[in-house]
Amino acid sequence: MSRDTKKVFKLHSIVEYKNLESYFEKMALNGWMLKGINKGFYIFDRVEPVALDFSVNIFYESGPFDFPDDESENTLIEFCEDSGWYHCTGTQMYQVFYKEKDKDVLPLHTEPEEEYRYIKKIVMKTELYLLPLIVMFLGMGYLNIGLFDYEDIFSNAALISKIWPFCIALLFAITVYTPVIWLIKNRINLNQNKELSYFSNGHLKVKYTFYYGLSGIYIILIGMMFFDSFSSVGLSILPFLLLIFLPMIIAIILMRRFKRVKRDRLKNMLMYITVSICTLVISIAGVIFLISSDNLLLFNGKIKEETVLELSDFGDYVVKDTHLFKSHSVFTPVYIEYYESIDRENKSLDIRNVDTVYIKCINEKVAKYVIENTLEDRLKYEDNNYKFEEVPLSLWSVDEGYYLYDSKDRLVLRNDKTVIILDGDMDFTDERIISICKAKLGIDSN
Amino acid sequence: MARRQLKTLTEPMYYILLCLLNPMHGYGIMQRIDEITKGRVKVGPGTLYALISRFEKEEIVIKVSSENGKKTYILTEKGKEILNDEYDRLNQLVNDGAVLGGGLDES
Repeated sequence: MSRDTKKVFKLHSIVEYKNLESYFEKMALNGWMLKGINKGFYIFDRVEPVALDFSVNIFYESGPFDFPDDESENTLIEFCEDSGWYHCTGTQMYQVFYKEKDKDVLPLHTEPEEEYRYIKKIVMKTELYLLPLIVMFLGMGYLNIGLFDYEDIFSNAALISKIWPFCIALLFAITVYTPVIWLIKNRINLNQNKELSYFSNGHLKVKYTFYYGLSGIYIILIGMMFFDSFSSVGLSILPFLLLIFLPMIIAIILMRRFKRVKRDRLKNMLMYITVSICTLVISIAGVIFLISSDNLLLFNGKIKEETVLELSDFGDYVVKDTHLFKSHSVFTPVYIEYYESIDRENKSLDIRNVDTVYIKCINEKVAKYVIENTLEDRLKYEDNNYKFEEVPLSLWSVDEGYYLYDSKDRLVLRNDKTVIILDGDMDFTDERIISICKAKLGIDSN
Repeated sequence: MARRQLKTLTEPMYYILLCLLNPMHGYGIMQRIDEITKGRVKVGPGTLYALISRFEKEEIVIKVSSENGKKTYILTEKGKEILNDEYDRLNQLVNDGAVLGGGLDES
């Protein structure tokens, strides 16, 4: 983009078009004349600073599924140019006109009732559909919160998956509140024979600062989700991401090509719905494949961390299977799940598998919450009077610890803000085993 | 439905239809309304376009020619009927008002 051209991205509701007029006027005064509008981008050309009046004329003869109606557009331009306005540029929804500041010409809109009717028609067709979506996302959000499990705090992805419907609902609510308020307020104004009123520039500045800020936070959250979910798999994720996003890219290209040919509205709508459903199905299938793929999410290989148990710590075992899952979240900066097993058919060996869950929490309170819920989770499979046996604390050198089964082959430990869950074909009361575990897991050093 | 919506015309609607008893282009309509009403009623190009396109859709007016890039419109039979109805309604209002005015004068 050369220095003589400026491209500005600007979101707005159709009810905020008066603010666009003052924005274009300010830009012209600063030496930037509006040249074109393309998908939310306003393109300005460098000119000598000039005082102009802009007028945005709502124009909505064709909807998003219609072929652009050039004839209607030309009629409007003809009427306005005959009245002394100059045509600047336009979109499928509105046309922008301007005139010299001191030139006395008739304003484009002289009938508030008609202006209101036009804007209402656009809002109903292009913005109000967000209202039922807000209700739907709120419902999904409450459902998600209801399904909250303590294990969700172990990964940002799980945490975000619980709150994302509320995030979307909030974004939609910010988008749609101006048109809704505008319609109600101006219906009252018109009934009282008053002029139409518009939102102030200050009000919209606050709205869009909040909107963009929130969008930025969401992008960071999505980034965290991806990083969290796929950090252990690295670049091997790329083909799968392509699988998810490629259908969307193809669909966008197809739709753009399709719209270049004149067809009736029904055919266009059918095409859009078919392509959208196909894209959604293929993308969802891609996501499900991605999530359910063991090879992708569970890394097969040896872990170099010192915080997990390995069969080699207990003797000369030939490891057949290993599974590693790592994640992190704002509550648990480190979450490692590591499993090793030998050939299951080899029954002569006493230890056949060992499983470690190592969780580093942000504070002791979170660590206690994890312990409490681990025990509660386990209690679901026991009767109400079941009492967990405490591990010998001094022997284990931990603050808290319980055997999860009477067989003592599974236990949960907490030392300060670290929680460790161990599971294996071994007796965790055996002092030799305890000593190996403590040394390997660095419990002594805590 | 369209007929019901336009049972009562607004002032700009009434004057546009009045102008289109004879073929006329957009700017001509705006000027003529200004002349007839001596500047009391102003119809801006945006409003004129909105109303003309609405009238066209409801077959109240039709485009008769498009010469030199200027589109000319005229009332249809349906449009004339609506204009006549409105004229009668307004007359009725005036007549009713006159009766009331007479009563007021007597008091």
